Amino acid sequence: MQVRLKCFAWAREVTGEEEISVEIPEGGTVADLRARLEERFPVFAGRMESIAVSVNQEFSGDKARIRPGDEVALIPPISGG
Amino acid sequence: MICRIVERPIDVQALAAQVEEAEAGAVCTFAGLVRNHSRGQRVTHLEYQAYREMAEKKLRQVADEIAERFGVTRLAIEHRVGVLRIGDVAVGIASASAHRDAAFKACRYAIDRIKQVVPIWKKEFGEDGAVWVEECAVEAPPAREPGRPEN
Repeated sequence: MQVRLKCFAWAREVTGEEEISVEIPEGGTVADLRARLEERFPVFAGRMESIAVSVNQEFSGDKARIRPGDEVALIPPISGG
Repeated sequence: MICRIVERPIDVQALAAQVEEAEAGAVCTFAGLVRNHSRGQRVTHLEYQAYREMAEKKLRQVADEIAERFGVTRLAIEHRVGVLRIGDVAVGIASASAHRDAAFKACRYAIDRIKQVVPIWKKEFGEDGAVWVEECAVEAPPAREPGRPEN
């Protein structure tokens, strides 16, 4: 299953794209997505703990399932205000 | 209620005018400005980036929390994105309520929560280059066990 992943701030600079496509197993979770990202961009490996993942615009834990068509994003530590 | 990400200058007085009403005896405003220094370094300008759709959704969540906690429903929040210069308003908040206490608390709570849950990032540009500022790592709420009802 292809996940379209939105990237922001530092994560956008690492991937070089506003949105990338990541392959995870059918019925896969946020944890699967994180594992694939670490393989593809090793620089994420040491940083994953600080990066949140949102699914359909809600912060989602590693057990959250990702379904086809879900809106998924990488949220590095925020700094608004 | 106004919860917006904008690309133009923020007019805090205009936000205050939006929340004023005859029943409100108190209006509070907060303006977050771009500062010329950060962590001992000079800052020349900032660039703000937002996950716009989610940021506006989270701003509405913050507004809902404020209504629940303080009973304040006359609230306007704008956060600017793009390149901002020293002294520009990055975030503007206005709250109105019958009495001052709730209006003060609403403004304070809004800016504190923006920094905790709204997906916006700033990049600081200084004499030594540019860096994405990382202030608050967001934690996902505890996962619900699959198959168990929400409560």
